[in-house]
Amino acid sequence: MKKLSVKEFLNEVKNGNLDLEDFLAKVKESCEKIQKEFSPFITLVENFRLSSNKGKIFGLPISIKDNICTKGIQTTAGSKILEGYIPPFNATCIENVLEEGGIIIGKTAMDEFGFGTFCTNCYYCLPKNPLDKERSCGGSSGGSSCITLSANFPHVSIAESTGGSISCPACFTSTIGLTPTYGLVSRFGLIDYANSLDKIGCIGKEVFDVALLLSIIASYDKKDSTSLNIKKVDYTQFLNKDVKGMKVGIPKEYFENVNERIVEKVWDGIKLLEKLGISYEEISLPLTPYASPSYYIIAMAEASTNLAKFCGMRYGLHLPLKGNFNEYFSEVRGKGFGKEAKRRIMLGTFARMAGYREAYYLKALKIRRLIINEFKRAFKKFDAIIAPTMPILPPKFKDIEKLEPVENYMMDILTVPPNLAGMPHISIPCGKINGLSVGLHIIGDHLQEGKILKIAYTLENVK
Amino acid sequence: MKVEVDKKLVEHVSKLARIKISEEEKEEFTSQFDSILNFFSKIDEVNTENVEPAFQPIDLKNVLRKDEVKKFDWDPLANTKHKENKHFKGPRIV
Repeated sequence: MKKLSVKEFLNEVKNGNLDLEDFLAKVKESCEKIQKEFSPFITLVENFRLSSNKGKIFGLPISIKDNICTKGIQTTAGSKILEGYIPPFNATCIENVLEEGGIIIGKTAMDEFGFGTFCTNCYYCLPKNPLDKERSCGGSSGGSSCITLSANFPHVSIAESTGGSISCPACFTSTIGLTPTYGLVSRFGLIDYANSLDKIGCIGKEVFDVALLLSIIASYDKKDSTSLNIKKVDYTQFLNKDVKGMKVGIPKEYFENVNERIVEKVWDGIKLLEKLGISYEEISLPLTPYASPSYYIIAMAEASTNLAKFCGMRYGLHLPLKGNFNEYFSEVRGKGFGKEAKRRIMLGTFARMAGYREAYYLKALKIRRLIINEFKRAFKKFDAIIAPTMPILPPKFKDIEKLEPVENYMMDILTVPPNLAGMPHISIPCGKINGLSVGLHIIGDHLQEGKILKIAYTLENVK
Repeated sequence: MKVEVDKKLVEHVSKLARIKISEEEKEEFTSQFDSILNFFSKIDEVNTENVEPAFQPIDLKNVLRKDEVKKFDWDPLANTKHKENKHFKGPRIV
């Protein structure tokens, strides 16, 4: 199969130079090989069918994180408690992709319900990093980043982030991860983790790929009451190097406790951007260390209510109907949820309990307000904020096993703040250390996807 | 806020959350919850007097719709094993 970028592929299709049936057969073959080697998929679609919608991405293979409902295709959110669930409807973003002629190739592996940083809290399959099979692909959208890097065919993935689940996997696999503003992409059909934090986004090989996919999946949706009612935007229009006069802030807190060699690489990137006309200034965002505990409290509290629906009645894991409803539900949930899911549901339940709600849940929401304000003040002066995406290189599976839950949570310190504040952000590769990838994080103000895409595109095309 | 985590608290929360956990898990969660709540208590350092909680990251308006019946063409019972005469069949209530 000739190697084509998404852009080249769409041009070839437009000019009628490709036999798409033949192309899809080869993609299928390739996916099976990749699955054997790196296991990015929970479900690989049986037949890739060419759509009759000759839209903007006609014939383009798209993979979907497994917490997004796909009509007729098993959707599990990576959990045993949803094994065998076949949604009778499509999420809105899936409808959008199908209307434009995209081909759904499979459902990608993830930490159960998105509960994880390394895509190792997996019931079905553990995706392996194509850069080093002993290492993590990043989480929780690890299957999406795994297939994006390993695909030898044009492809984009629909991923989802609650606290960093797009940026981290993109960073670890040298791919591009775009998390849009909260509410820009409809969450209808997303199996929610934390409804005030979840954002559907994209992982792709090039900045163009994620900009194109976002243009398709971002749409106002009456079925999601938190969907933003704004006009459709073609995000590919921002992909030019017209960055002269742009200003970025470099927050010092984001460089503390970060691997020194990662710090160096990210600074190389910032200096490169400076040469191209983007000035920078070092700033301080003093509330940064409080983002992580606040995020975990809010996310767990919301998860504990969102996941109440999984009780062995309407879908997923069923057990023989024994005992009263409390006993039955507790039994099903005890058997169906993995350890991290149990921990988060229980801690979230605790944070909302009478006597603790004020001190944990409401306090965390107040800190979220202060963090949003801190970002907003910075964005009055700067077009974007630049930082490392992750403080570490992709770890080995055997080292991840040794981490205590709280040590695991600390790994999200850099990705959590923009997620908590609903700010759009993009992770872009910024060099390698011993063959492992480093990510540079560009954070923008609400709805300023255009600016961060422009900076990312500029950095991508200087190399 | 400083909270003493013991097995009793873990058992109580597991009951409230409707999750049956094993003895082993009780032990494990007791020590883990202790260090996680310790990590949470960092938020006590921030002064949040007169700050409104941000339930959403972006200002949203309440959205209402007309209370109208809409038809759908899928079977709500398609994914359940526990059904009888077009109804979900559940466990005992009392």
